[in-house]
Amino acid sequence: MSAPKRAHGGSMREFLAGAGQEGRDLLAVDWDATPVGPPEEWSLSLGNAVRILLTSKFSMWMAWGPELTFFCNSAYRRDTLGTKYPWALGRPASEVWSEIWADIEPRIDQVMQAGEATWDEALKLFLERSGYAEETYHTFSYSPLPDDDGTIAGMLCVVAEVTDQVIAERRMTTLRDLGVRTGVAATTADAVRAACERLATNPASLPFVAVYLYDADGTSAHLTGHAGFELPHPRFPTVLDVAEGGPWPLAAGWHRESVTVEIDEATAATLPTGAWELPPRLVFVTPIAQPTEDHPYGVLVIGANRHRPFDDSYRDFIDLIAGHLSTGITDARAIEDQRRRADALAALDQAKTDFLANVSHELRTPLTLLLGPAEDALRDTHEPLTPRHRERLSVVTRNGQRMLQLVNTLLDYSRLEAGEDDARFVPTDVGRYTAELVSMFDSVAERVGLGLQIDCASAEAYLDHDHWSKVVLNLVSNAMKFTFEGHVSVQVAEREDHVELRVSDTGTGIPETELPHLFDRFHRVTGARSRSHEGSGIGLALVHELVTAHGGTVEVSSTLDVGTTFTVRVPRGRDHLPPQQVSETRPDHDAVAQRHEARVTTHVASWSETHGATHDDAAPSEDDALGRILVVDDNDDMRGYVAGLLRQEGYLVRTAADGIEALELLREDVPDLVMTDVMMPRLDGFGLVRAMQADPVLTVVPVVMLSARAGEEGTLEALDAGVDDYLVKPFSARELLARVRVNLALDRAARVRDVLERSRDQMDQAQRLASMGSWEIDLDDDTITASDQFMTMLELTEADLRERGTTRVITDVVHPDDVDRVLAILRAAQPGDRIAYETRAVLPSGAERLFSVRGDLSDGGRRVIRGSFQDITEQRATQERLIAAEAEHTAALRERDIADALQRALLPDHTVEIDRLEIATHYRAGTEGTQVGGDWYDVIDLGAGRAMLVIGDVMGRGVRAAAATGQLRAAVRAFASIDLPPTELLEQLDMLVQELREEQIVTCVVAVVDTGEQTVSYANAGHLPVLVVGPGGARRLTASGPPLGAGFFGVEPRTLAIEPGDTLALYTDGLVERRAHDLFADIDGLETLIVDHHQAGVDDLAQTVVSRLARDTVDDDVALLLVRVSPVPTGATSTLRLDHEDSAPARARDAVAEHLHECGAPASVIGDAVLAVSELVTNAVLHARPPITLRITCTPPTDDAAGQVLLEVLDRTLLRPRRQRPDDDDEHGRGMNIVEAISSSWGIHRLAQGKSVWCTFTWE
Amino acid sequence: MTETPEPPGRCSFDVENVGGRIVVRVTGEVELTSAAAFRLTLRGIMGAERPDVVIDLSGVEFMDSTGLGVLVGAQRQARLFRGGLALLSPSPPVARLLHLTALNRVFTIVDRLDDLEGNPPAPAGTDLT
Repeated sequence: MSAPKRAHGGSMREFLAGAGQEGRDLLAVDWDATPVGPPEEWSLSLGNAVRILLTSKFSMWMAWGPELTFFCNSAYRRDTLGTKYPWALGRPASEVWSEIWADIEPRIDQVMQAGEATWDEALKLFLERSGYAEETYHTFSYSPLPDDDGTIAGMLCVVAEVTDQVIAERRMTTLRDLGVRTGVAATTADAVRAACERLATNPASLPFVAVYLYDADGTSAHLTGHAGFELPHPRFPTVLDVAEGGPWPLAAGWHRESVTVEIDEATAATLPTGAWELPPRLVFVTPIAQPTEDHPYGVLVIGANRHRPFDDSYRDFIDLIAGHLSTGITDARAIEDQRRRADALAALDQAKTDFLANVSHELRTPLTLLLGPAEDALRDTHEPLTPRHRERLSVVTRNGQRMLQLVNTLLDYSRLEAGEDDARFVPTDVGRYTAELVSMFDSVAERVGLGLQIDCASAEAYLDHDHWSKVVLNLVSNAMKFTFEGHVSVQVAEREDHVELRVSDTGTGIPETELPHLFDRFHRVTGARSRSHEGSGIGLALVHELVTAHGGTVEVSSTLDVGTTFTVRVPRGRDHLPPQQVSETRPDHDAVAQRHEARVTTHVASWSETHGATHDDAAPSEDDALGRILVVDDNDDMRGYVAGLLRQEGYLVRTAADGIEALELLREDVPDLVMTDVMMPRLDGFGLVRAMQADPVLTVVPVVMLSARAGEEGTLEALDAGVDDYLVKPFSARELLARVRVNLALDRAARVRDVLERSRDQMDQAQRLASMGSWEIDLDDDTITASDQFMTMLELTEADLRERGTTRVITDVVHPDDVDRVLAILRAAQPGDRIAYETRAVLPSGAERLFSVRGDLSDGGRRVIRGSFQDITEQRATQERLIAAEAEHTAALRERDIADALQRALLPDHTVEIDRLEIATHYRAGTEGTQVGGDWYDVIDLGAGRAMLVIGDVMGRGVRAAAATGQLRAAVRAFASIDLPPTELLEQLDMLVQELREEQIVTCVVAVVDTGEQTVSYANAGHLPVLVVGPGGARRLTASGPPLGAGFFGVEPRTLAIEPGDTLALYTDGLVERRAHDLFADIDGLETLIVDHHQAGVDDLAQTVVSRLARDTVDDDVALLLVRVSPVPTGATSTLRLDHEDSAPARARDAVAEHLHECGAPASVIGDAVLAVSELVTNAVLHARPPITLRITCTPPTDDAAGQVLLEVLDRTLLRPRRQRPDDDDEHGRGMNIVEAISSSWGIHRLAQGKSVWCTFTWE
Repeated sequence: MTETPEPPGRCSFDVENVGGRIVVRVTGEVELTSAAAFRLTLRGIMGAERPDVVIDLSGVEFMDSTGLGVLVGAQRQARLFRGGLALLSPSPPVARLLHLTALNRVFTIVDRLDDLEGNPPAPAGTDLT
């Protein structure tokens, strides 16, 4: 071998020494121990290779020699080698990378043997450089290094680590997919599942995913989505209780905190591994935020890839996923909400349609039975009707047909809406057919004085003849109804692709604001003046539906007081129609026309006949008449009918068609009575009454109102408006006449009384003549003379009168404020006039007196007034006092009436009966004369052997206090019905009391007795302690908070056990308070009394207590409520503890069947009870927490009471089972509906640590 | 002739092919314990192409809403896979339950197998427009 070239041994060392840390470390290697040898002996090739290695900034390593001795540069050390440096230098490469040697050896072989370079891009290698198996990706190339002689002695590796890029790209793909997919889910569950499907495609970054969503109150959470494992999985239960914990910490999530959970190796073994062999050691639980809410939707539970560090970017990635889920759920919820709303609206609309159809249907039968016989009678030639009967039956038939028309229209409309239309479209000459239909209105148009213009060109289209006739009928009759002069014109024209029908009129027009709503169901244009005020408002809506069924459109344009035009456009041809409804057979026109003629005539006849007011006809003479009556009604028939009735009785009747016409007639001549309808055009009934009241002459005329609005409301409204009497349609002739008689008579009586009073006044005056002064004034020469009495009363002398004259006397004596008025009256007096006035006078002595003056101005000649003068000062004062006293008396009476009514409402039914409780009560109001006070008590049945006892004391008495107690009593009942526990109930009550005026203070005790659990649970707001007396002695429940009204809050509720035979006593201070004694002593007294007599029945006991303690007259209220727990009949109840598993319902069913069979319940009751218990227990197993307890109580029937079964299922969750509304597709949610349907009653009770769901069954 | 797992609880069913229709006969109590197995069995059957299934309920002694839920789920599956589902001769307790929940209007209920109209569905692969 020739001497190998040496790589400048010394310079090699120098080079290494100056080549940074790596160079120095290389120097430090014990090269002699390696086959490579010391640097001085390195071949040229090796030396060059090392130089290149160490000077390059690119990450490289190399191996040389038989052992593939390892060298690397600083970049490699930094990026890849990690903790293996500097140990790796000089070691065999197989040792350095032992963990991946299996992967790289084949490649190295390829290089060393074949001299071919290798290339690997993003190769996954598990490196142990950080102390664990780290997932890394490297792109690298191995290339051969030849020695000086050309043989391959070593290899060079240039490597770039691409781990970060690979991981990042992987995560981005996941996020992008999430962004694409989660937008389209319709339900929350779907949104979550879809997201998890996406997440499942990245098992490397996300070994497993679980999404738990909280329920509404955050007590439990459901597994809604998952990836990376199959269900069921022991580590991922479907339901988790948040408070309890369980495999995953969800409590922090509820408060929007994330948690990182470290898993020990043993537990980790049970977890899914995702894309790896080994399971995660870290699990990240992060909340899925709910926008604008305090609590998140749920949490995302992610197992972290153990081959990567759990750094910030990993955390950010997971947070982004949570963000996507949050958006997806929010969107899905919005869609769910909308769909629910749409469903509700659709159901509502359907309900309305169904209702319409049903009602219309029901009406047709009686209508038919009404019209048939009536028409028969009219047509009868064998026994023809007398003219009067004929007229009556004509009215009947006419109105019956009117109703039938309306009902038919309603029915048509509802049928269309329900889609039950069985239209048949046939080819038709629209112009010709329309012209035929419209021509039937000819006679009508003539009768009402309108022109009818028909301009119908020939035009072909497919029409349903029935539908089209209704469209034309409705539009033309509407036009006629609203047009009073001018014409109605109907045009048909053929256009290129459609046929156009136009109906125009010169009528009253429609306001612009009404136009958009015109075709709405039941819409009526308010206040429109028309020939007929009737109609259900459905005509135009029907037109709209019918035209739409033809595939066409209808439009309206209108100008007020000018006219209206409806335009209907129907497409030609048949392509737009459902093929099964189209036929090519042309119907026989004449037959069709005839069929519709009847309908048209009926419809039109209903409002056009006998239009025009009927005035007086064949009436009794003025002198004979019983009275004069004005009848006002816009309905011709009604007017004619009422007028006819009254004339027959002997009244003189005039009629008017609306309020305006009535007022005109009233001004001509005032009748004795006005009878008026309410709904009339131009001026309605109420308007008429108001106008009459404003006129002094008309205001005294009695008014009787006729209306179709029944009920108290309508009556009160009328009476409030000042109407004297009110008659509801339909009324009988007898009733009408009776009312008229009474009202006329009343009015007469009033007038007579008026006259009598006036004469009495005059008599009184005459009697008092002696104490009246008389005077005489000459207006022309201003002199005044008077009687002595007069002068005495005014403290004047004859000389005073003579000297001063009239005017001066008046201005001297009359009170300055009254002077002008008196002078004016005197001056205005005309010959023959009688004057009368009152005036104050200030006497010379300074006293002020009140005088009544009467006088007559003589006829002709001089203007002299002679009159009388009376001092009415005392009289007036007494009158005023009397009036005041009377008012006070009335007020006091009224207050007492109110108090009485309140009292009756305040005290509960004595006959309240609660299962297993004996109750006795006593109440005595303290205020003499009234029966009300501020104390109240109540016993409320909560069902299934539970009752709420209440006693309270509102400070004060009389009506005010009673009103307050009324409110409180009602409030307590309301809260009891929602099962509010005592303390919370009192807190609510406290807020109510604070709202009462006058800083009320109220004391109150609320106690709930549970005979099933044998407990009493109570809360006390400042009231006297409840006593519990049993055979063993007495207990005083003294725990008490402040009274209500002072801010009652947060007092601990107390519960204690009670036994059968125990007596509870609730009472107010009236029972135990004595003026002279100390309070506590008297509770002792009460206690002793009950203890001594506790064997007695509760009623006797109550009597004893009251008679002994409330003996003295006390002016405070006394209330006592005694409740005794009856002993439970033995053997009536069985209790069963159920395990929390699938066989529980079956066990429960067997237990119920056996117990009830023994008790003798009938088979049907047993069957129902078994089904019910199966539902309740299944619910408990699926949704509640153990332990589950079943209680069965059976009470056989007695003479007085039915037999009863009570089933109670107790568990430890607060989640209440609700009746749901499952639709036909729902697999779940029917359980409680079934229980509700088969049981007599059911309910839910809150217990201290859970709840009891109960139901009862009864049988005779 | 399909393999059916033996259900827990007091319930049993067997499956038979009658003229192209699959008749599932259920006897005993259909509730929480047996519902899961019942559901799985029906799912397995429904998975076939255009299944036509009849569930014979004459021998059911007891059923509650859990059992009902399985029937409702099967109905939905039948619709999804364009197949038919009918209930045959429900026993009195089942009939009552169907009536109480108004589901008697949702299911096809017959007294005899012959009362079902139409032929059994065409075998998979036939294209019917």
